[in-house]
Amino acid sequence: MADAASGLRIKYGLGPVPTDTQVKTWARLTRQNIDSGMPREAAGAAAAKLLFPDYNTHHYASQADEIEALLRAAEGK
Amino acid sequence: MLPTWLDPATVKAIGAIGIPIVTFVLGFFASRWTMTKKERKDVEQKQFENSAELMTAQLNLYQEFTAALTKYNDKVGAVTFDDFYAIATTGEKYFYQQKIISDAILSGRVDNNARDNTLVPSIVQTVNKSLPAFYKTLQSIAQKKNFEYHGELRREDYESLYRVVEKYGKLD
Repeated sequence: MADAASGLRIKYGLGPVPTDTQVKTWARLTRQNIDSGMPREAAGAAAAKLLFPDYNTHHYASQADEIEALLRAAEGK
Repeated sequence: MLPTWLDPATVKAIGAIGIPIVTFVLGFFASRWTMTKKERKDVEQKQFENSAELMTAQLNLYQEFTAALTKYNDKVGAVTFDDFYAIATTGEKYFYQQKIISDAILSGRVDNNARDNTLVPSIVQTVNKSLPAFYKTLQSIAQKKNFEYHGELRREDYESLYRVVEKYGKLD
């Protein structure tokens, strides 16, 4: 569940990591959206927008940004 | 005038035997060339599973690579050739997985959503940022610390990544 929570945090740019209850609610809402005919991605995003007030308020570094920063630190060592 | 061998009896025989054969042959090829709804669903499911597997493997190798880098950066005292070598090998493994992903994208074995939202952006960033930074930094560290290292970035070693970027993304 922790992986899913941190995945949601990065994907939807949330501040704190969502709780287990929030993750479950998100999954349920997403399922409902899919059942009502929405495409998978849109269903997840709509559920997140509805559920998390801090939707899309944070930007997390991509793998490439992280690698670049770590390489830069290694070079300076 | 009909040719003499094409008498009414022959025409009737061709109708009776020939038409079912032709229909059978056409039906057979039509079913080979098109997919039923179930077959299409199965292909989509397989593509989805492939994408998930590729992403999991990629994430594990990313974590190994960043762990080696963090270990190197956090090391108290002098770094050794082994520490340096760990960065080089985990990095190569991570990039090798990006090659596997690129080949899967090029041969259409991944789900379209995963391709457009996750896999291609990651390959684009690897080509534009990570690969050049990786080789440049390793060369610089090797020179500074007097480590033996001959790695360099050659396009032919990462051809499929470049092809993915050219086909689906944008090269810086």
